[in-house]
Amino acid sequence: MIPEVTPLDGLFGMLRKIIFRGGIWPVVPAIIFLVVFFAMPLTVLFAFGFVSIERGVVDWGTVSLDHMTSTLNDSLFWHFWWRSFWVGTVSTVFCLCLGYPVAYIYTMAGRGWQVLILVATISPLLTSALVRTYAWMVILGGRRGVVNAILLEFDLVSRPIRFLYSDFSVILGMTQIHLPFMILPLITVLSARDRSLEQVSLNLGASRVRTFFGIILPLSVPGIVAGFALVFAISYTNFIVPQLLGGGNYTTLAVQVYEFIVVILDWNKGAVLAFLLLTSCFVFVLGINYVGNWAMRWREV
Amino acid sequence: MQVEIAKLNKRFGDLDVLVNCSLTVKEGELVTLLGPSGCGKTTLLRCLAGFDLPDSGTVFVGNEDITQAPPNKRNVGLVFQSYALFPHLTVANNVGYGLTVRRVPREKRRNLVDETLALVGLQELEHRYPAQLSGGQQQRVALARALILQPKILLLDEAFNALDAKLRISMQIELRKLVKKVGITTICVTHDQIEALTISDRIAIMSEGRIDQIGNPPEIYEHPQTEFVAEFLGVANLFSRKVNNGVVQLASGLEIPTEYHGDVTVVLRPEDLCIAPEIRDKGWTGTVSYTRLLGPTIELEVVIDEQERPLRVSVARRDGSEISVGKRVNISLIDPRNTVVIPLKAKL
Repeated sequence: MIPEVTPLDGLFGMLRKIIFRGGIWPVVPAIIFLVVFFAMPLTVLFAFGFVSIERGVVDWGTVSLDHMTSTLNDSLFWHFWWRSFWVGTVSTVFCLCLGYPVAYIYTMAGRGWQVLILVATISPLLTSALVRTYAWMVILGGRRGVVNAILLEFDLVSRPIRFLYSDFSVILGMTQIHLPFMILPLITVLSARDRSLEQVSLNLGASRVRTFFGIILPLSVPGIVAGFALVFAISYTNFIVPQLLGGGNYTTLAVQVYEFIVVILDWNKGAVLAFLLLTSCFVFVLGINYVGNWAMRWREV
Repeated sequence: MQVEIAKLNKRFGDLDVLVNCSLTVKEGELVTLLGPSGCGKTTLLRCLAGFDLPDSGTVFVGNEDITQAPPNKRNVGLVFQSYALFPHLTVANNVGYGLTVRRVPREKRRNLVDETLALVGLQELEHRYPAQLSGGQQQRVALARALILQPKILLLDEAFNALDAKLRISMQIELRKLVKKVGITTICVTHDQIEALTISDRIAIMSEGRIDQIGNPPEIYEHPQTEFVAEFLGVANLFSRKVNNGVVQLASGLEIPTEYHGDVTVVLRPEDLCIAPEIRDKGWTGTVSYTRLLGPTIELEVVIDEQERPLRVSVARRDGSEISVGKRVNISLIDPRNTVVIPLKAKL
């Protein structure tokens, strides 16, 4: 509860404590790894957005904001950004709505059911997201897709329904693929909760429903924030699902980055888009955390 | 309201947690369930609160049978060991929670919260969060939260455990005064004999799922009916003896008359014994192995020749100045009439 570093120490004092108390040394390998394989490549990529590249040769003498300004003035960019944003948000909200009951049931279930829920949650992570995306194509696909085949077989529809290559299929695929990342933080927070609070709530005359919404849900905000931020970040930047389940004409910001860098080989544009995608993602995650902290202001003691 | 617990039984798997527990608590009375951990006292309390349901038996509060009632339909006040304050609600909202749930209008709720906070002396803290309160303050909030609903009975589960020793005693005294002022029927659960002696009108001593003895504190201390009760409440020296011609022979020259026959256990409290620094032929002879100053008294342990269990003796501090570890002493009874004799069949 008592902070080790007081505000009076300032940034310098904090650094000195971290370095000279030996706290920093165990994380040095991780820091080196992150700098070499994460921070440096990203910096180089971002730098590509501010220089011109001619036939694969970087001309470092021509630093300018031209690529950035032209992108920001492009209405198509905002169109793709908006799609990334709302698709990410909607699938994250679905993940929360589907994941919370699972996590809650987990905490109420017996040991056997808990293992089952945990295995069911984690095992999809053992297969590649790409494979799972293809699986959705098989399920949702045209006349031969599993769903349409069944509907046609039983004459429930006369023509196959167009599930694939729509907002629906993209959101469905994203929600399913990202669901574990919502369930796991929620399980962590809900499992650690103090059950005596629920008993007291009942004792004071509240119904179970009232107890859930008045006590359990507000106290699980840390898990909701963690899961929401995590799932939003990976949904917002996912390019496989929109590309495969959205089809050729369905483009989001993340798909654009992929297209420009891998297909069109316009690294300037790709770098600018990547920069905008990642920084905006960062801002959104900070925003989610801010809202979460506001909702948990009772913890600030 | 009067509480009547009749023949409560509860099993968890192979374990009998409650065995034929019966207890009547009169209106306005404060009864403590005292016993070691695992004796079933908490389960009994949970049966009263509705978190556990007994396998058989009944619980009446007033004229109402609440044995099978769900916890949120009982109107039974409860204070947990951990207080279980809602961390995301302010003191005022914690205290007013039960009223909010019952849809009491805001204005009336405010007045009741203010009134109840005043009762426990926390008016100024209504806007704080639980984490900003001391242990004693948290306990008062928990108490206010339970009392504001004017429950039929109040239950306290080890409610003083989390407090440090000094505060604990003062909170216990304060609780007793408060409960008496409100006039509410109260049942406490504790394993702390000092707490039980401090707050209770009557104490029910429990062991292995049974209520061994019920009585007011002096009664239980002076007339324990089982060895367990004698040893659990206070310190006791126990002697297993046979009755011969209506007397029990404790040591040479120490005989106690009794109406029982056969095997008995004699209970001697440390303060019933007196100690003398010179050897006499009446009483026990032994060596002091341990002394402990308890403030006004000194507690001694004396290893008696030809006896396995050492005797525990307490003397006034002023009388014990010449006694030290290693000293040979004589121990005898102050007044043989004060001793308690328990017939063997009482060994449950």
